[in-house]
Amino acid sequence: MELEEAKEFRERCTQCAAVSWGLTDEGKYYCTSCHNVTERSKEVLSTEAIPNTKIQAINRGLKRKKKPEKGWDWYVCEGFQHILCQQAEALKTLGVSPEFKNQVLHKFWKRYLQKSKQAYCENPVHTSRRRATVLGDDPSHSDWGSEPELLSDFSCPSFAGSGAESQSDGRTRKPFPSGTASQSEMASICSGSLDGVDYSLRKEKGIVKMTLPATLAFCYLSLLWRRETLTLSDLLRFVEEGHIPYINAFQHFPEEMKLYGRDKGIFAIESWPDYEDIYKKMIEVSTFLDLPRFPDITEDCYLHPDVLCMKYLMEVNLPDEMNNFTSQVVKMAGIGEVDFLTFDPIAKKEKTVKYDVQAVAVIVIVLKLLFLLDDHFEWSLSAIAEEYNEENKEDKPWFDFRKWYQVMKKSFDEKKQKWEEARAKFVWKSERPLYHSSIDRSVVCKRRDMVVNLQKQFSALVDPTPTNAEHSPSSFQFSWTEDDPGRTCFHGHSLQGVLQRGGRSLRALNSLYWLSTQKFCKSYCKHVTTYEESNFSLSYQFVLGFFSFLLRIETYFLHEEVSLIEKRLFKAKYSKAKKKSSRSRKVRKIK
Amino acid sequence: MDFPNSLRPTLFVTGPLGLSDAPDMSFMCSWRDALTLPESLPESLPQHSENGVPHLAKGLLWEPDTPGPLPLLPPDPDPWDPGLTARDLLFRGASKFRRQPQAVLDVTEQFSRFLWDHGDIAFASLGKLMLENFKLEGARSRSKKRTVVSVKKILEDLGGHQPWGCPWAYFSHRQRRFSILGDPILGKSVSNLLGELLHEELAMRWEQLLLDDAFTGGALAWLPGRTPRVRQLVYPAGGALDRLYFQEVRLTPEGDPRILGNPGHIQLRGPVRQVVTCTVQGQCKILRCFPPLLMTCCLTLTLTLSFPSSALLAVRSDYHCALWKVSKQGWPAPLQVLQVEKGATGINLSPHLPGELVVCSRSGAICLWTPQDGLRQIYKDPETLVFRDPSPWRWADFTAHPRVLTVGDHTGVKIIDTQGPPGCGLLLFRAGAEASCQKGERVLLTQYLGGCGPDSLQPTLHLICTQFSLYLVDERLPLVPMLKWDHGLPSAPLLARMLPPPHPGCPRPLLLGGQGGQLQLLHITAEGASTPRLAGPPQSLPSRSDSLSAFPLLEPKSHWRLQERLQAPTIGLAAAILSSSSTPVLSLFQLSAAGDVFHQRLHLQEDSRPPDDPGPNFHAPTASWSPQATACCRRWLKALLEVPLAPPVWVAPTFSYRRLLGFKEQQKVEGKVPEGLRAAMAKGRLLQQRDLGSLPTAEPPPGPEPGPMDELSERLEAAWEGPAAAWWERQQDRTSWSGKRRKRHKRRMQLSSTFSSLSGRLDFSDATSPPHSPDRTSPVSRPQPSVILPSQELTQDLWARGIPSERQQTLRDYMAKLPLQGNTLEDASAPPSQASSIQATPSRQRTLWDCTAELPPHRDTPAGTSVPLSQTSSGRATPSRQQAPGLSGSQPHRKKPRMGF
Repeated sequence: MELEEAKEFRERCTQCAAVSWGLTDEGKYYCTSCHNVTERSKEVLSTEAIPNTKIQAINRGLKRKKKPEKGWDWYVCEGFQHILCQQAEALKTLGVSPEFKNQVLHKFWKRYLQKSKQAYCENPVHTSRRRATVLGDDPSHSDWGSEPELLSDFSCPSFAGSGAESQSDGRTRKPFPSGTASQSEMASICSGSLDGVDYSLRKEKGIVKMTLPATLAFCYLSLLWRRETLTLSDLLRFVEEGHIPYINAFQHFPEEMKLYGRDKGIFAIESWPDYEDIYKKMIEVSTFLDLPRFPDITEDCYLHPDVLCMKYLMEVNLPDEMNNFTSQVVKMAGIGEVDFLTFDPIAKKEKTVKYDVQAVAVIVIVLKLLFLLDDHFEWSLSAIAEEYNEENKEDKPWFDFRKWYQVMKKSFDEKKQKWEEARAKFVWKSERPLYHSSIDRSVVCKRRDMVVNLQKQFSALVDPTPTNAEHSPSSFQFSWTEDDPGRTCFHGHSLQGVLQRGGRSLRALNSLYWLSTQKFCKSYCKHVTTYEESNFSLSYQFVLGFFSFLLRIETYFLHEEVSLIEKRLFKAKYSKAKKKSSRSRKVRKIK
Repeated sequence: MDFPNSLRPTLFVTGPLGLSDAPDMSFMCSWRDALTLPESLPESLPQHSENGVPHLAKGLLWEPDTPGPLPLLPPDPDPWDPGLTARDLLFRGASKFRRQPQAVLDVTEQFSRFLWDHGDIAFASLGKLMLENFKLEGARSRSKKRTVVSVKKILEDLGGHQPWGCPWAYFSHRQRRFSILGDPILGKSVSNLLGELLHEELAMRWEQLLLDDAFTGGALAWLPGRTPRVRQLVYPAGGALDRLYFQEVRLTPEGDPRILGNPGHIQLRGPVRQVVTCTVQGQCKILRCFPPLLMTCCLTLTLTLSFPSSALLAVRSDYHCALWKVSKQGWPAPLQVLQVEKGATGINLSPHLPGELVVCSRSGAICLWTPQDGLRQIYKDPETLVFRDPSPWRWADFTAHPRVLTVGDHTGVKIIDTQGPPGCGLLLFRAGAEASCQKGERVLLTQYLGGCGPDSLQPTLHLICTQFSLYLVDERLPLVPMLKWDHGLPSAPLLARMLPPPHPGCPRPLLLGGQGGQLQLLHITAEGASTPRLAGPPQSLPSRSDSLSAFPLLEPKSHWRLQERLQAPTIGLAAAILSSSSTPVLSLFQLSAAGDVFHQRLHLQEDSRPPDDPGPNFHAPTASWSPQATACCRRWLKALLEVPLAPPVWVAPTFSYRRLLGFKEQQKVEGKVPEGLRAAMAKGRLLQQRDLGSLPTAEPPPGPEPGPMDELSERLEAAWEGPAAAWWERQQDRTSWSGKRRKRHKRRMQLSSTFSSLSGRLDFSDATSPPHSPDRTSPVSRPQPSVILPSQELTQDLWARGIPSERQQTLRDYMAKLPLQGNTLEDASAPPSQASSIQATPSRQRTLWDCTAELPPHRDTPAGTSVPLSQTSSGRATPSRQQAPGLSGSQPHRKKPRMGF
């Protein structure tokens, strides 16, 4: 500890006779060898010494007791801005164009601050509240009312302290009315930020409160405006891989931005961002910001389903020829048009496009169209293809579903296991300890030290070799090349095996289809459809599971998207039942 | 009889029982110690070395040949139904709204299924009653009955019903109308009654699923055969486990089992739950023979009344128990069959008297049973032993004394003397504080370990397994276990086998099998009269599901089937140790609920290192699959997949879609997009827009409307551009004082803090201290440093200091006479010596004066907050301390000033 300071104490220890003293927190000497604490304290001892040291000692002793070290007086929105800046910087280093941060994200953010009346506006929330506090001061304290500013600037600890000192004097205790005023004053004790308590209590209608997931929504909105080559699932994956700060993002706050108490609830998050949540948040934010129509998503854009399908087909090792079918499905379902794709927060709140999920759903539908995926037909087709490939080794090989399944299943299992391990090993606790109040601080710090210590011990026991270094961010999670003997690349394989000549053109051999959802839910439940795994074929389960892992989304989410596109594709199937019912209604009316 | 020398330290309880629930843990070794202390291994407690019990110098480790057990016999041709699974019973979906995962029985789904399948039962009677007044067909006939609703339409609405779907999907207005209309007539009686019964049934099934104690003891037996090497495996198989198979197996010296011929089998009328064997030495005269009436034998049996050496085989079914005598040639001869009306829960053969059995019934009765003398009830208690537990499970076993038995249920174990009066007995084990049981801990298995062989431990030991721990109890020392070990099995340990030592003098291996297939191997040693203890660390053996990697990659359907088969619960365990070869071999047989027998061979690795050195290579070396093993698995799998599979419950209906997709062959244009994608994939980098071609630049989004900039907005703007610290620094510079002043001020502050803790508080009145966010101060006061009358200021301070109000006026007057601020400032920068002299005269007024004099520099030196303290405090203070003094809100509120007030 503070052995330096304890040097002047030269007596022998009563227990072990050693001369090796340290200073405890109370300023008492303790023996470093046997931990015996003396009755003599530093202050008393140093009376013989020069007065200066004494002053220092006392001074230090006092300082030590000062509990909540105070940094800047910052607001919650500043914290979020700091996180947003960090995220934008991280995206910039990932390769997103530099205009993204200043031209798009900043404008969105400023707009948000203005709309939510936090800054850049007349009467921002924090000042208006303060003024209200002062004005609403109890008239009985008119003595003090002459200096409202001064009073209001008193921070609570001093007030509380003096109040405790002079309990007998009723007047001194009363200058601040209880209620909102004292509450807002308490804020500075209960949180590191100025308005942490207020912020967490704030519940205004029509205002989108900033949360940590909302930072990602902002990032995605800006990416979408820029039409960057990043989908929402990519963004979330990069968050998960640690390329974009999100969990424990507050540890990179400047030292002076103290964080405790209520701030913990605002800035600390203990869950991974969820696609659905962020997506909903994004729509919420964009309508709140009152944004105009976003730039058009045309066919050259990465977010266009044709391009995304191409990307995902490549990533999941399916033949390039399937592009042909995906673009047909896209065209038939009418999901490739600019008006459909372009995000317009005001015009069509309900009809927004999850570009990546939609593209993947198109691939699933094409697989269903070609292979039926009923646990039977796809295997018999692959038997044909296998036979053909055996016989014609020189030709372009036919696509063999079984082989593809085997290759993909293996790499999928490996990847998933790695992902699960990484998730299990993830250290949720931040390096910067968080505590609710300053009382907890020492406990939290101590606990943190213990955790670090234990982790060290366990890692030494379990896995002495450090985990392999982080891989660089990539748009592709799987990589397939023609010249890898272990992992067959199916990109060049032909789909001849699943097609047959009918008339002038080739048509799919399979003529059957089954719908992923027989009936859509009505408005009573908040979902469109449900996904009960055991109702579906195992191949379909595998394909869905694989793709939803690729996007890191829940399986039912993809299933829902598949069903929705099917609904557009097979309108007749769904409208038949409807027509019937409408007809019957008419009949009843006529009666 | 000898008594053990010492008790384990873990079993001392501080104070009388019941006063403190927890045993004294101070002696306990914790997992923490396991990381650091070598003494924490079970066998090396210092107490034992003091007692002169020699340490075991080597740890016993059995190394498996293959990463998992291999199938020994071809799969049963009967299709196996795994029965109800948790998935079938539990509510699916909507779990995301629940905070804590909780098992909720899905009554609605089961109910709707029942109504779909058995609508006639559910509605027929009511329907008939209604038929007179209602018409449901919907035809337009002019009868006096009105068409209430068109059933056809309703059925149409319900069409395509998907199990476990959302009920709202099939909801129509027509149904709603009908249900409102029909509600008073249809009533709720049917659904109420049915729902209640259904819930009861489901709850029972669920409990059974969680713990199925029917197979306690195990249904796999290992019978001696013609030669020491050729033995017989007795196990049930078939879809319903109602066929008892006798398979001759020859163990090669290497421990490899060879199957000899086809198995013989006996068809029984119920599923086999437990198989127990016992070797009978020498002559044994069976006086009376009852051919089993309830069973049909498929073997030609030659009944001889005397055998040179034979084995007895007792079989427990749900409601029957039967006894066979198996000759050395391997022919079973039925001796007697017993019908147990309430259901049998346990059967055990006596190690002392050949042919004597003990049978337990669900009614709580325990009977001794010999084919000669028939049944004799020795104990009956419908209540449980220690406390009330709803389970009717009972268990009984023999002890070292031929006339003394143990009787157990889930709450405890009792020793009873069959010759004594009924009701007498002694509690051997109680699920409670004596054994330091956890809450909810229940006895699942009791086994007598003494009768296992000539060189056993002490003949008085019993093994008791609960879901958490295993206990070794000496019947001479009831209630306090000799040994307690947390077995850590994730499923109920219903199987235990004590094996002979691999070498004479070695500890004896104890196999513990969980229902879920997990296996643990422990070694128990007790030399002389010492207490039994664990030798070496327990070892986890591979389970059947570990064998999945030996099978080739399959189609999902087959894979799922294989997995299900491999994960079937374990219902039998048998093992043999071959110590003839140089390294002892452990041959392990497992029986699954699907009737599959799996085998695994383990070699003993004798570790020569001392046990307190668990080096890195102490872990079991990883075995790999040999080509023979994978070939064996392949064959087994082939046979397995030939068994037809039941069709799925529901399949989505298919329809013809008229081939809407056409394939255009000539489309083979390699555009820029695929090229770019491929390049990005190969390099494993992020895609860029330039890879895909350029986009027309879009205009930036609309910014915020121009508005006034306040302090916060400025700061936000600045922070966006660069680090926020820059703004704060700038802000400080704007109002900062010269360094000299700062220094002086600093020193003064320190001084002041020496004689009055008030100084800290004074800072709070600091209206313009910029490091606090300036917008906290009023806009008026911000632009220019405030010029506030000292009197006002004093008021402020006085208030802050808690000066009595009556004195404040005096002080104010006094203050008015003071020189102006500028002058006070000069005074304030007095040398420290002066300050110390002030300190020496602790008069109240003097101190006050000093403090007030100090005020102005405070007010005007906002930068004081960041003035480094180190200049005077000899660099000892940490940075956090440095900034502490001047920061508002951070000042600790002192309870008492040190001097003055």
